[in-house]
Amino acid sequence: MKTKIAQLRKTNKLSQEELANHVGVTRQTITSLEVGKYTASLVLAHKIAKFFGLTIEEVFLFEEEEEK
Amino acid sequence: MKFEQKLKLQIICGCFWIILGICACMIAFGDSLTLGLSRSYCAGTGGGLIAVGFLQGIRALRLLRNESLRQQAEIRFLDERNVFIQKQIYSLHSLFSLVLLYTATLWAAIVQPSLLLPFLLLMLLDVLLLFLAAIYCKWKNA
Repeated sequence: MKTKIAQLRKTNKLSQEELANHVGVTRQTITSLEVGKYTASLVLAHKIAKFFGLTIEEVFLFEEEEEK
Repeated sequence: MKFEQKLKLQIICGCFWIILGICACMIAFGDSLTLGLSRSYCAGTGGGLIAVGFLQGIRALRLLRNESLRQQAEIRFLDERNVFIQKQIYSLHSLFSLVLLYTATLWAAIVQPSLLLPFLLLMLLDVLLLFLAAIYCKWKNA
């Protein structure tokens, strides 16, 4: 799944480690989310979106093709 | 269960392994009691248990005393991607265990028929455990 995490992180001048600490996951998880290797759970997606003050849809770009 | 409680439980388990290891070593090196077991087997198992218990206890104590280390360890422990990977590993491990068990049963049937019955019973027990686990998981997520 594509995300805007990397972009938002750079805008907010945050490192992966800092974001990871804020949302309670490891840095590797943030890396995997950014490159699209891992799909976040609803709880984590909510935490990340809330951290940036956005909605889940604004951070995580859901494509219908992935559903298949 | 909180992470601190898990660490405390790990210390208790560590002590238990050490005691068990000491008992195994006493059996191995004692003259009176061997229970028909191989001395080297008992000594090796005992030594291994002591080492595991010691390492587990030391790690848990270190984390309990150091706040920042504990927070890092807690994040690693609760990290959802780690949990996801762990579940995948367990699933693969279970699958390979089943395949190995079935292969061993087949091997026993061909090479040594006397081993067939215990192996078949083990296989049935394994399938029963699988069913129980499935029922439990379904009940838990109902």
